[in-house]
Amino acid sequence: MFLRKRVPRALKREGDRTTILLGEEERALLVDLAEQFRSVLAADNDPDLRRLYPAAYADDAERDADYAGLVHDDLLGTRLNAVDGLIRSAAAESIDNEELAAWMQVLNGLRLLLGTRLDVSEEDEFDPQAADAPTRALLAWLGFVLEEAVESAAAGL
Amino acid sequence: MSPAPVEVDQPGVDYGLDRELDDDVAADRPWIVLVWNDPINLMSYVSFVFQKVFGYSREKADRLMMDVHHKGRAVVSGGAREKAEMDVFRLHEHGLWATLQQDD
Repeated sequence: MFLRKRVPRALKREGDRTTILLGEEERALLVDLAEQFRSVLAADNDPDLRRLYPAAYADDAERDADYAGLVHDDLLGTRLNAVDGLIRSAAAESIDNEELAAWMQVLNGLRLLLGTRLDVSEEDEFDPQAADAPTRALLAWLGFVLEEAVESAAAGL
Repeated sequence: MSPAPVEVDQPGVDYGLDRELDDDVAADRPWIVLVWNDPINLMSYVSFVFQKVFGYSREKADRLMMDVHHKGRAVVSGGAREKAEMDVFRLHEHGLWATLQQDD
């Protein structure tokens, strides 16, 4: 985990809604990423999805298999719904708290998927020359949008 | 756990003679919900999820989040197994790395 602080540039709490400050290209990027996330979720066979379905019982394989069997489709379903919610509201001027929750779920889910794929650690330094620099920059950008989503959601609690 | 009595707040005194009673005591032991540190989740997000899922104050949520961050894990809730499992599910919904286990 790590800490960020910024002046709002992506999402801003205004009354009981959240204003979207992102430009058209950024919104299009989010929709594109959300659609890719939906494909990976729906195919449901990418090992880098593992952080989205963690074990509940670390030392009890039998109970954990029961748990996974019980919740997997629910977890998948709420994530697919969240993807739809983000895509539906991506062009809006502002979103309500339910739509904001969907945004957060997609932003965080994408970060878990990309972060797992990149095998990130807390000690990582950004190296612009590295082959995976574009993906790391994307992970950081998603973190920046999520941070402002959290600030707005916390103000709406 | 051989030397009896085992639990002070159990009715009667358990001298460990009755194996079934021992199992009952084990079954009644509360479960705890642990959240583990991971390098991806934002600190503010983790604290927000604790506030949203458990209704904790900002202060309590921040304290638990810092425990996760610095100590690698924190106990965030607990209770009967069904309740602890539901808490874990809600944390998984929010992308947190949570597990449950029986309290030692």
